[in-house]
Amino acid sequence: MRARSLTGWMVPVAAVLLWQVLGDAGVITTRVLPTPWQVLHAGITLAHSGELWQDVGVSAARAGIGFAIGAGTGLVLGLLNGIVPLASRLLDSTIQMIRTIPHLALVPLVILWFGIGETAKDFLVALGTMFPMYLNTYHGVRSIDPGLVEMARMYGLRGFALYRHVLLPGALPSILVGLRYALGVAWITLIVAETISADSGIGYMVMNAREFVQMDVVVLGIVLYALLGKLSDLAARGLERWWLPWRVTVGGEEA
Amino acid sequence: MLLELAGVSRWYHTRNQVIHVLNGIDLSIDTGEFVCLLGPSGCGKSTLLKIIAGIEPANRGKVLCRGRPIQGPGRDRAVVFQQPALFPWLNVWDNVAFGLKMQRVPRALRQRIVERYLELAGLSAARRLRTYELSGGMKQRVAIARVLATDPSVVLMDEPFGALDAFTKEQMQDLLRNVWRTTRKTVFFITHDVEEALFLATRVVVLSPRPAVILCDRTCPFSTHGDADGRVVRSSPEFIRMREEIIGLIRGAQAAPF
Repeated sequence: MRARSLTGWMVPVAAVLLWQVLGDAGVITTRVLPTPWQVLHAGITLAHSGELWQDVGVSAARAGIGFAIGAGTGLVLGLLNGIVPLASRLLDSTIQMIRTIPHLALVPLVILWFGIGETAKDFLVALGTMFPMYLNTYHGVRSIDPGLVEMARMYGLRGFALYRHVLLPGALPSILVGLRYALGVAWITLIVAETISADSGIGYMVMNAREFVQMDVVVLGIVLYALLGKLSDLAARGLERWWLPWRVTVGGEEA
Repeated sequence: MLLELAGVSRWYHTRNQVIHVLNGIDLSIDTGEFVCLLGPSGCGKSTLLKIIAGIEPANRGKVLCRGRPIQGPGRDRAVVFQQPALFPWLNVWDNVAFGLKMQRVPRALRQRIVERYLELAGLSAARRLRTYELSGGMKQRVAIARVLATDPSVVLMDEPFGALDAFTKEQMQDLLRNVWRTTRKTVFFITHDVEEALFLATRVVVLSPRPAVILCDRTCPFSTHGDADGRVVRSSPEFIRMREEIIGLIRGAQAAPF
């Protein structure tokens, strides 16, 4: 297993080394792309001055707050519509209609509503994460084996007990898929929102650096977004492994 | 009398006709009986079981359990379906313990009961396994152990071994027969396999094709008085004679429908 995970790292490490060598040799000029070493150096400098942590912190807080509101709403709506047929008939088609609006198209409108402050970012992230969470939760509850529900009813389970012991664990695999997907959407939304207008955060740091042609900081920002996205995906995968040890994925753990 | 059915009829409306499934079924089942309901496929055996389970209502007739009308599913009537509905997020032990836990049976007692039925079902070594690690026969054994653990008044089984291969099926029949000889639970068992019915039941009830009426109702000696060894029972001359008799009866009913 160790040797196998090392195999996966060989190509990226080689690519970064090649990038560095070509940059040093002058084949790739610094005006096109700074070398990995320069990017790392910019990172260290900004970390020392404290700017880096502040911007990362602001961005992470936006992603976190927006995700909590959006995914939370999606989860509640998904469970409600999955369990209560009346709610589903009343709400599902409306939600599906709103879902067809690309949330990033709302950026100009959101700026007019909320300005460029935190509310605008939180709102966009919340809107973007709500639908993947809703869809997967709803689907998860709906696709529970009816035999299991019938079995539970025979044991006298009703209401909250039925939800707690059968519906929630049954829908959990699908809910976690929604969670992972929503996390991805959260970061993408944030990148777009911060790049268009912001006065703090990673996006702001990058746009600021662009003004001064600080190529190394621009690339650093991109790498930071990638790292944060990967980190939250890893966290979701950890949850999956922790909550769903009974799930077997075809072909082992990689999904 | 544990279960009483009097004049039970059931029909369905389709777009342009009415399909009569059950036509005035009278049946009484006493505590400790193992009743096998035999009949050609599509004759309404499962419908009758669902009515007793409380999953479906009867259109006409009385259905009583311990003298009270059946109005819905209840824990006094547990069902084992052809597809064992085990909770995939629980292991074997927790699946068997599930019903007891929901009934708030104290932990110590719960453990004793679960141990007992795991052993009866031959699952003691498999207690920590997840459901996806089990074979079809083992899953069905978990389903049986789970149902017995909650100690219902009657166990309803709807072709529980129908999806198993011939060899596993025979093993499961031997197991169920032994379990029944130990526990003497009341069982209502549906099958279209005449040998299975004769081997397990104390009483065999044969239904006609739709609209179903009871063709015959016979006591059956092989589960209580027969040899403990299944192979000896299955190849005994009395067993074969009775089997041919019932097969003949079903054939005759199919040839001349009502």
